[in-house]
Amino acid sequence: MVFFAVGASFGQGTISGSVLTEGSGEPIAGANIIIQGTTIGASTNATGEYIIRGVPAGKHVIEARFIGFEVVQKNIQVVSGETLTIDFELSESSLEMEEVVVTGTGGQARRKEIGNSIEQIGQQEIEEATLTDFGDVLQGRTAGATIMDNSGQVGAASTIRLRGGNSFSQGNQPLIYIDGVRVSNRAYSSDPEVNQAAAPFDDLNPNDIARVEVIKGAAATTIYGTEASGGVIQIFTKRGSEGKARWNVSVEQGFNNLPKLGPEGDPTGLGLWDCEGIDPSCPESGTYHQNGHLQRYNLSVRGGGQELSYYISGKLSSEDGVFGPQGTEGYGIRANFGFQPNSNLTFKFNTAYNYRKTQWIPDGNNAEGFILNTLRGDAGYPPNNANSLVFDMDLHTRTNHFTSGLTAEWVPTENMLHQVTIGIDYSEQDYTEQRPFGFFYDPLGDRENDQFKLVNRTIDYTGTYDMVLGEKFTSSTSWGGQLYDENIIGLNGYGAEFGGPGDKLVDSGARTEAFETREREVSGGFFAQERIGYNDRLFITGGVRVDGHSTFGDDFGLAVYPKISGSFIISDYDFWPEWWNTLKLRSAYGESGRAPSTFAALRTWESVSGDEGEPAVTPQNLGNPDLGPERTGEFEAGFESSFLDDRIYAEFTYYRQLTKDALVPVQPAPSTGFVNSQLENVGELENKGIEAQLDVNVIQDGPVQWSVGGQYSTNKSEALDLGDVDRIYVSWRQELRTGYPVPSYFHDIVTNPDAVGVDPEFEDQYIGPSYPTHTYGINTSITIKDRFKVDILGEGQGGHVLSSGTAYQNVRRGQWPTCTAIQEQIEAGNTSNLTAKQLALCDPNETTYGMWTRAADFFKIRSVSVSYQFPNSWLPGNVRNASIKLQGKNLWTFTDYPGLDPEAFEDGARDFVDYRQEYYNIPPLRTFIMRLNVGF
Amino acid sequence: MKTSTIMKTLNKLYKDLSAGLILMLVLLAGVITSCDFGVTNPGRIQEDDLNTVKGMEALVTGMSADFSYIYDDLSFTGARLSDELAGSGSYYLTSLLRQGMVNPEDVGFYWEGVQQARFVAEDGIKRMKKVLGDDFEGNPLAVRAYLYAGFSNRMIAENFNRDVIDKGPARPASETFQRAIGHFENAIQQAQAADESEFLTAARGGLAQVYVGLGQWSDAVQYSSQVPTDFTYYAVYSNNSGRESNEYRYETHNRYEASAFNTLAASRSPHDPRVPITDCSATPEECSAEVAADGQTIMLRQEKFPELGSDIPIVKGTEMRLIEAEAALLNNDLVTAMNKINEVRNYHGLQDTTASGIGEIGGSDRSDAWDILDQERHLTLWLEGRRLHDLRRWDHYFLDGGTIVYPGVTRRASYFPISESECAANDQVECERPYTE
Repeated sequence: MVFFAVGASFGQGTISGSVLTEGSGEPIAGANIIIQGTTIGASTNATGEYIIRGVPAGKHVIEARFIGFEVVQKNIQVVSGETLTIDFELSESSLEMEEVVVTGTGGQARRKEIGNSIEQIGQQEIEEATLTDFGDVLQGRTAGATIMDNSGQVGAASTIRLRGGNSFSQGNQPLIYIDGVRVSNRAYSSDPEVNQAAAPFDDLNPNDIARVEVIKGAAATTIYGTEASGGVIQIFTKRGSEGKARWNVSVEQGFNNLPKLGPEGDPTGLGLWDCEGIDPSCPESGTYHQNGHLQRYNLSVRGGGQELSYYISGKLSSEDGVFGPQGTEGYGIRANFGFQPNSNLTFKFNTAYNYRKTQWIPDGNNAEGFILNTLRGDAGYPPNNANSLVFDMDLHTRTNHFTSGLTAEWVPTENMLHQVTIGIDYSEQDYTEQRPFGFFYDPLGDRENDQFKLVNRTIDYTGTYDMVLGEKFTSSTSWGGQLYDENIIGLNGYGAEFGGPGDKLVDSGARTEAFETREREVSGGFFAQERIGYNDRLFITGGVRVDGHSTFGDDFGLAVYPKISGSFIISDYDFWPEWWNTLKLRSAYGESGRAPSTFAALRTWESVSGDEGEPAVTPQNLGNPDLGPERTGEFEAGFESSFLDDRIYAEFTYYRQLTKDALVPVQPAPSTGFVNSQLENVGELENKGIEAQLDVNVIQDGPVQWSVGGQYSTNKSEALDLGDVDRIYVSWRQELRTGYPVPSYFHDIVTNPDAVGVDPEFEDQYIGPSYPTHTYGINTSITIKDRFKVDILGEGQGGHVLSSGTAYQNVRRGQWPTCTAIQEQIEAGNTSNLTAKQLALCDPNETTYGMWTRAADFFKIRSVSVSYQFPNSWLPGNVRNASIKLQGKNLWTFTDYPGLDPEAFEDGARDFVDYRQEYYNIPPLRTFIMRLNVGF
Repeated sequence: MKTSTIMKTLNKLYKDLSAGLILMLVLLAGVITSCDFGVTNPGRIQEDDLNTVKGMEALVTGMSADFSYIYDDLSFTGARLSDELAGSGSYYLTSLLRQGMVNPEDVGFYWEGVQQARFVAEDGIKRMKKVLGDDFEGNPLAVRAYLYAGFSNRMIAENFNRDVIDKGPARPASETFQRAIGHFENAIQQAQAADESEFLTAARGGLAQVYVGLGQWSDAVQYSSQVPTDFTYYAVYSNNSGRESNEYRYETHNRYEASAFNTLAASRSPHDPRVPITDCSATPEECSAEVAADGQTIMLRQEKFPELGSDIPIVKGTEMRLIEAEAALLNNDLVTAMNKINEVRNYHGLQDTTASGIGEIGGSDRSDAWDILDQERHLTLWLEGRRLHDLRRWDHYFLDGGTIVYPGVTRRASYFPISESECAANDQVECERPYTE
C-alpha cells in the first residue's frame, strides 16, 4: 500500500522536509512520506521536498521510502499549529521489504506486498558491469535469466530468455519497457550473409539506466496480458533533481580480441591466426586477427528547480571488430524532464535518439562467410584460398532509433493515483549489401537494400485507490487499460548484373526485384486488481486481465487471464528471533499468453510471378478462424530472507509453467495442397525449475568490505503434447518431440562406439536440449576505504548441447586437426585398429552432425572490474568526484565443447525462432576497457 | 469492523472516487473503444478474392509457376542421386545422395512442392469451372490448366515410388500415371476446341510419357508419333525473380555444389552438344575455382542451363523418337530402333551410331542397342529430371552400386520416398525407413 502526495489539508500540525540520497546528497523526487497508522502522506517534488498538512498532534512514526532505497523511519512529535521539519537521507538497497517496485504490480507496491519474485538491478551494479550490450546488464546477475552472447561481430544482439521458453513457436523474448513505453523486443532485420543483427533495445545507453526491474513469468506478468508470458523487463532511466547543474563525463578506451579460435592442437587457428604462406591475400601482419579499438565518450548533466528538473546525456562510441572492416559506431542523446505544476500533478517527459552504423562481414552459413572460407582452407569458395576477397563485399546497417514517452501522474486525493503514459518507439534500419562488379562469387555484382521500420505506440493507463479498512486491514485497488500498436514495414530492393565498376544503387542492376512487407498488430485490454493487507504482514492479491488482439481469429473473442498471489512477512511477529532479520514467504499463480502471428488466422494466397514476370498466385496460409492465444499458467512459491544484521540475504523460488493451447506449427498433409505450417492451439508444454540466490557481506564494517554472492537457477522444459503429431522439425537437427525438452537435438549417433575394425553403426537418438538447463553466477566484491574496489563476476551455463557445424564440415573436408591422424590412417586403408567411434567422428564419409553435437557446458569470467575513486583533495576545485576503472569481459572460458565457442549461434539474427547452431560464426569476444569518470 | 467504520470508509470512498471518477471513466472508455482489433494487412490475397474472372489468368500462371518452382529443384536433386551429376558441395543432402540414399525426412521440400503443384492445377481447374461457367470449355486457359495437372502428376509418378491424394492412403505410381492420362486427354480435347496446336502437341507428348511409365508401349507410340522431332515444350524460368530462376544455374555456377566429374556426360563433352560442360581445371579463367565446393572434386560445370532464365524441357520430340526406339527394341526391331536413335543424333548434328546387336542394358557388351539407347536417353534428357525413372524401370546396373564418386553402395535409391511431413500428418500413410528403393 503506497500513499501519494496530496495538496494542502487541514489538521493540527504540519511536517515538511526533504529526502536526499545518502552520500551524494542528491534530492529524490517522488519519494513517499507516510505517517504510519494513518492514511496521511505525501510525496516529494522534483527538488526532493515535501509537505504534509493536517497531521494530528501527538507522537507518530514517519517513514520515507523510494524505489530501490531502504526505508527510513523516524519517531516524531507533532505539535498543534506548528510546522515540524524532518529530513531524510536514503541509501540504495536491494534487500529491503519496504522498497517500492512497479513492474507487474498494477501501480506501485512495496516488495513485501508482492507474491511473486521480482529482480532489481540497481545503478551501482550496472556501473560495475563490463557492458557491450544490454544483455550484459542481466548476465550473471539475474537468477532465471539466460543471456547468450551469440556473436563476436560487434553490434550484434544477444539472446535473452527468462525462465527458459514456454512457447513452441512464438519466440520467447520478454517484453521490454523503457520508462513505461513498450519498445520493440525484436532484432532489426538481417540477411543470410550477415546472420547476425543489432537489436533496438541495445541502443539504450547503459549510462542512462537508473535501475532495471525484471519479472520472469506469467505469475507476475498477468496484467501485461497477451504476449507477456516470456516475462517483462522494465528499464528506468535517470531523472533530474533540484540544484545547480551537475555534470558527469566519462571516457572509455579499450579493445576487443579473441583468445584463440579453432580446434585443439592447431596453433594457427586453421589459418585465422597464421595465414602466411597459405593465403595469398593474408594481411601483412601474417594474421587476420586484430585487436579492435573501442572508444566511448559520455556526457550528462542533471539539475533543475522546484517545478522543472532535467537529465540530459549524450554518447559517442566507436568499436572495431577483430576481423577485417567489422565495427560499429554511433551516437545518442537523451533528455528526461520532470515538470510538477502543483503538488497533485507531475509530468515526466523522456525522449532519446540513437544512431548507429555497423559494418558487418559475411559470417556463418554462406558461401562468402569469412570464418567458413578461412577455416576450410583450400576447400573454401574464394579462388586460390584468397579469403580476404570476401571483405570486398560491403555489408552495413545504419539505424535510427527514437523513443519518447510522456507520463502524467495525477493524485486527486491522498489515496488515489492516476497514471497515464503515452509513448512511441520508432526504429528504422537501412541495410546495404553489395557485391562489387568483379566480385569472385558474382562477377557482375549485385546490390540489396532493405529499409526496415518498427513503429510501436503505447497508451497505458493505471489507476490506484488505497484504503485503510479499520485498524488491521488495508486495501489497494488497481485498474487500468493498455493499447499497443505495432507496425513493421519492410521494403527490400535487389539489383543484379552491373554494367561496370563503381558505386551502385539497386537500379544499377540489369535485373531488379522488390519486396514490401507491411504488418500491423493491435492489442489492448484492461485489468482490475485488488490487494488486501492484514496487519501489514499478510497480503493477498487477486486480479484479472481481459485482452483482445488483432491476430486472434474472427471466431475467438477475448482472452481472460486471472491471477492470485500472497505474501506473508512472518518475521514481523514478535516471536521471531532477532538474528533472523526478515523472512517473507510468497506464492503466486497467474496466467498470460502469446498471440498468434499476424496472418495465422487467415486463409491466404500469395502474389508471385511466373512465365517470365507474369502475375501469378500460389497457396500460402491455410488459416484458422478459431485461432487464439496460447495461455501460460504459472505457479511459483518461495521466500526472501535476511540474517545477521542483513549480512546474509537468501532468496529461493520454485516455479512451474504450463502452457495450454500452445500454438503449434502444424503442417497440413502436403497431399492436401497447402504445405505451409498452420498455427493451431493444440499443444501443451511444461517448464519448471528453481531459482536461488545467496549474498553474503563477509565484511561490511570498517575500511575493508567484502561481499560474496551467487545465484543458481534451473529450467526443465518438456513438450507434453504436440497435437496429432509427436515430433516437429524445427531446424538444424533440432526438433520438438513429445516427452523431450523444447527444442532438442536428435541425430545419428554411433551405436557400437567401442567396436574395433568395423564400420560404425548409427541410430537416430536424442542428444540433448538446445538451451541451458541450468545457469549460475558467482560474484565477489572487495572495497577498501571506499576508494579501491574489485568486482568479479563469473557465469556458467550448462546441461545443453550444441552442434558444431564447423567441426562437422571441416572433418568432411579433412581440415580438423584432431582428426588428422585418423584420417591419414583411413586414407592409407589402415583402419583395423580404429574404433567405430573414431571412424564415426573422423571418417569424412561416415561422420554425422550428431557426432559433433556435444555438451556445451561452460563457465566464463564475465566481468572483472577494478576501480579507484580519487580523494577529493587530489581534485581541482570544481570537480566533485573522479574515478578510474579497468574492466574486462569474457576474460576466460572453461569448457570441453570441441567447436568454436559454446555460446556461438550462427543464426543470431533470428529472434523469433528457438534453436541454436554453431556454424562458422565469429564467437563472442573478449573485451578490455579503461574508464575515466569525472563529475563536476 | 464496526458499522461506523464501514460508513466512514464508504463516505471517504465516495468522496475520493468523485474526484477521480470522471478521468478514470473517460480514460477507460477511451482505451476500450479505441481498440479496433479489425486490422487488415495488405499484401496477401484472401481466398474469396480469387474467385473473379480476371483472376483466372494469374491462377493459371500460378500453375506454371508452381510447376517450374519445384521441377528444377527436383531435377537437380535427382541428377545428384542418379548418374547425371556428382554432388560436390557441402549440403547435408549431398552426402546422402552421393551414397544413393534419400530418406523421408530429407525430401519434405520436394514432396511438398510436387503436391502443391498438383493441387494448384487440379483445384484451380475446379475453381475455373465455377468462376468461368460455360466459358471454361475451349478456353486456352483451361488447356494450360489441364496440361499442368497432367505434367505435375507425371512428375510425381516418375520421381516418387508412391503417391497420396488429399490425405488418403498411399497409392502406386501407376495410379498417378492414370490420373495424368485423364488430364492430358482433357487438355487435348480443350486444345482442339481452342485450336491451340502447341498445347495440343505438348499434351500428346505428355500422354506418350505416361504410357511409357505404365508400360503401354503401343499407346505411347501412338501419341509420340504425333510429336515432331523439333518440338519442345518447356517449364519456364526467368531471371525476373528468385522464385522463377533455374536452380541449376545457382548451384553449379555460383556455388559449385555439383560437378559432372566422372559422368557419362563428361566423357562425351565437348563433342556432344547435348551435354555442354566447362572444365574449370582446364579453363580456370572461365570459372571462380578449379575444384567444386568440397575442395576436391574437379569442377566440370554444366552449361545446359547457364542462365537463371534457362528453361527446362518437359516434352521433346527427340524423346518421342527414343520412346519409339525403345518400343522397337521391345519388339526386337533393331533396325527401327537404331533409325530412331540416329534420327535424334542427326538432329543434334551427330553422326550415326551402330549397335552390335539388341543385347541388354549393363551386359558385358556396352555397344549393343539397349546400352546405346540407355546412353542416348541419358544424354538427350540430361538434367531434365527424367533419369531416375529410367534407372528404375530398367533396373539399371548403376543402382547396384554406382561407381560415381562414392563407391561401395550396395543398392541406390532410384525414386524419392513419401516425405516424413506427409507421414506425420496422414494416419493412412507410413514412411519407409530406411528407404532403399
